[in-house]
Amino acid sequence: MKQAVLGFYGYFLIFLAGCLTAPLLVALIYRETGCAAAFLITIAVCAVPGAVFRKTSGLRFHDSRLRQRYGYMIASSAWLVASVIGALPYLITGSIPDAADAFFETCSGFSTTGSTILEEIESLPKSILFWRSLTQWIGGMGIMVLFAALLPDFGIKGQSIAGAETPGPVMTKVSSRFSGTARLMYTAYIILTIALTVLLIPGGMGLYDAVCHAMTCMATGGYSTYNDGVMHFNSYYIYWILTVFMFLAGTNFNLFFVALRGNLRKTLRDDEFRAYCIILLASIAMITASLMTAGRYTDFGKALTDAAFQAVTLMTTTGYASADFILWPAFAQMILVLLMFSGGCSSSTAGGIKVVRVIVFLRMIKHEIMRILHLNIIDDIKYNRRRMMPETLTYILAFLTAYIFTLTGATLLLSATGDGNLVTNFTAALTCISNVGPGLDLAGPVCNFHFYSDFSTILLSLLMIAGRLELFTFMVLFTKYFWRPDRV
Amino acid sequence: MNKDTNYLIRIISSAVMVYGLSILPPVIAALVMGEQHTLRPLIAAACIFTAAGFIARHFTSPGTYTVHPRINYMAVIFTWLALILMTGGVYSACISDIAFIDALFDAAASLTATGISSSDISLLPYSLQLWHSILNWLGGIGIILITASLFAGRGFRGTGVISAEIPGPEFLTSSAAFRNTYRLIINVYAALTAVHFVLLLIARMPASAALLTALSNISTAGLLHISGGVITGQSLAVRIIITIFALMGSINISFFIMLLTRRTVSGSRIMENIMYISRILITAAVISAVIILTDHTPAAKAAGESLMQTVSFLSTSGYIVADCGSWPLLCQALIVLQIFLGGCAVSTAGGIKQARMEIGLRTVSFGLFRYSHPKAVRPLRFGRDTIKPEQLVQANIFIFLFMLIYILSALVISLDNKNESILDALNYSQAMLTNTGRAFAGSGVLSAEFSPLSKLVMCFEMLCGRLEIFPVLMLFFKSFWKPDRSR
Repeated sequence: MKQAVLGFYGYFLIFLAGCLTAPLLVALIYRETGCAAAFLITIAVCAVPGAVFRKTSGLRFHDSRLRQRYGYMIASSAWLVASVIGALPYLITGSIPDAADAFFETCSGFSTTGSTILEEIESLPKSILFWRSLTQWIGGMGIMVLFAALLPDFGIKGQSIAGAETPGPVMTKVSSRFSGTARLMYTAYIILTIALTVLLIPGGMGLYDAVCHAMTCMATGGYSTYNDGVMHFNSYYIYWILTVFMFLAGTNFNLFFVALRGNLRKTLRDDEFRAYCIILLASIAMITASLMTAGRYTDFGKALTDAAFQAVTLMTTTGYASADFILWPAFAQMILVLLMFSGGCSSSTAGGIKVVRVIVFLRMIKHEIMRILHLNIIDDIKYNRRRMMPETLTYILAFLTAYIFTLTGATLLLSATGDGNLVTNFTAALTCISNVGPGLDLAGPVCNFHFYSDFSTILLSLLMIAGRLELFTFMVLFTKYFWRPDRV
Repeated sequence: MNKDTNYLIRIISSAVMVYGLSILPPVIAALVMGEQHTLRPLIAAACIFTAAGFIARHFTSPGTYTVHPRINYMAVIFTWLALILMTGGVYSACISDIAFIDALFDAAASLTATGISSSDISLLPYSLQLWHSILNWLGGIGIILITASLFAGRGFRGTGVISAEIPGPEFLTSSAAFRNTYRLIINVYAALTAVHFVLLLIARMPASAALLTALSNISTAGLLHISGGVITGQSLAVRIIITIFALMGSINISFFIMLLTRRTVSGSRIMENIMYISRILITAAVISAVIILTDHTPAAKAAGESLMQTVSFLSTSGYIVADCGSWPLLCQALIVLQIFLGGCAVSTAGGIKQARMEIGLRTVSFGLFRYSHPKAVRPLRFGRDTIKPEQLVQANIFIFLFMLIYILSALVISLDNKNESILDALNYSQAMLTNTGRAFAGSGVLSAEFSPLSKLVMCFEMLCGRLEIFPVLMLFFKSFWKPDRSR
């Protein structure tokens, strides 16, 4: 079994080295020799041990079947390893001199959070900013899912590993093999990224900016190549294009294939998709009304654009900003905080609790009240007209409770350092665990996380990874059950 | 009259009768103090409500039958709503220049033992202060519980209706709803109040203030009659007595029953009390350590103040013993986050409750266990008791529902907030839902800026906090009103 894990890491490090060649090319194109050297060193750091691990393990693709337990370990540790290695180019080039900050930036990238410690983004080399955006694109659909898509015959049960990092309580498949599903999902992901790049260019973006923003938008990451983010472009066209694509990125990718196979009605009748649309539309309407009645906006079009952009960007956990929403009325901010909790759909690139869990939870409340009112009632909780298994319901409840406790614990730990204030720390913890990006107050959309101490920075980084892996995959590593599998 | 209607009218009318009788002490106080302005409305209210309750009860028959759970929940919510409306009416008649919505807000706050008011309670006539404290006392433990123990007929068991009213998870409250037990609960509650009153007298508190303090403090309603809930000016002995009895009010009352009857009580109840007291001690220790290290406050002063303030907030009383507004960030965060958890089940405290938090933690642990061992079967335990799957589900649903109501109510309250901070809305929402009343380091008097809509939402929250959400939430379901419809 150890050999299988070693072998996995061998392939994984080689895979990371392959990913790093893209920013290396960008460095060569823009003649950033220092950066090119940094990427080469990082590639060597990945490729050499990767090759050694592969060789010493002697593992072949179909040799091994890993237990689910190892799947969790591999998924969690792979994200940590990727974040550590991904930080090397920042450190070597001196773009981010502090190791904790570099780790934070990479975790924020891979987990598609989008929070940053950078105060001056535009002064960084283009290849570094490209790598920053690429980390989000790789992390968007899941590193393990990408791995499973590229290496379908690898002996490790793809689903047991990728399932540990796929957003949502239920893994849906559109192909008989998981690798097939992974490949289809990545196909959709790539097509949408290319389409967005093409559509952004007429809005006034250069190719480089369009590619970087398309990658971070489709990953629902939210990194930008400018200090003021997408506000830099100040273009209604760009705002609306990004709004549409963020909405698509927050949708269950499997639904695209259902729609493509001609079953559009089934897509539109999907419980989660309908709730996702209703929540967004209601939020946009309420925020627009709040902005107009508070007298913050005189132009309805501008109010609607900003309301739609902010609602979609926070619900899909992308984290761009077309306006400084901490200056908005408290009511509008409260709605945005609620959207940060809910997150997007399952099997999308979005973070947060996920709409499916919100739906099921609301149905559980109704079911509980019916149980009290009608003692002998037999009424199953259904999702998409299918009965939910009691075990899945328990997992959902456990997840929600874990989410609240983790959020509370993280807020306390951040407060223990004396950094920030209560609203800042709470929303910083929330934004990191939900992989959103901006918080409120000192962690608002035009601010950054630079003021946090190293301890807080690392804590928030781990929170991002835990949130990206849906808490349990990461938390299970810290339990005795995991390390003593034979003792129940 | 069918049996359900008969049952409903009997419960509600009995409660109204008890409520009418509860106005007699304030009437006597108004007579003694010569408070003519409040005397007439109070006499009228006492006569009308006692008579109305008595007459309505007279036309019903004591039943030995059991009713559908829906009817029990109806009895609880209708009783509470009726009493809030009646109290609002009396406040309107007694206090000059008070808007009805403010009177309604004060009524909800009094009955749900929430330490907040639309005006400064300490400036009101003594008779009204006394009535406010009596309502705190009645609402703290549950008006139906008191009514049942006083006026229940021979055949009346009341298990369903009382467990629907007592705060706490079902598996802890159901056993408290048996006739012998709930009578014992009332006796213990009354005895604690009496002892509290005597101790305050010994500590040289004037009798009139000691009575109000004993009634309000044991029901963890805050001490609004003492300078709006700021008790820093009281002697050390008084502050210590108040702290001890606020703590007693917030622990599971089974503990006292166990002491009285020398019975062994189920492990889960003992476990809950131990965990709750440990939580208080750890929180106070952390806060005092931080204060000593950062402010260089003398150790004894820091430890004393932090312990007393921690008890005040964790028991959801909400009175102020120390200058907690100037505490370091960690101390504030510790208190604010723990107010959500509140006290123990079958106590006068609000919040999520210690037992539910324990079950929540065990659910997470259980989820992680199943993550590692998907096919293993392991029972979930709380103390020596095994938690059934439906109890686990119910406790977890409650935790998340509590947070959902908190944040949705804050959303409505934030409509009144003209500035950009969401903190005020969140603080007020928390204060109302946990029945603490006072937002952390805030005032015990509600700001006049809030709209009637916000005040109604706050009333809803206070009632949700006191009745543990479900009885209030049921009002919004069709099948609550039409039993044949399962929607």
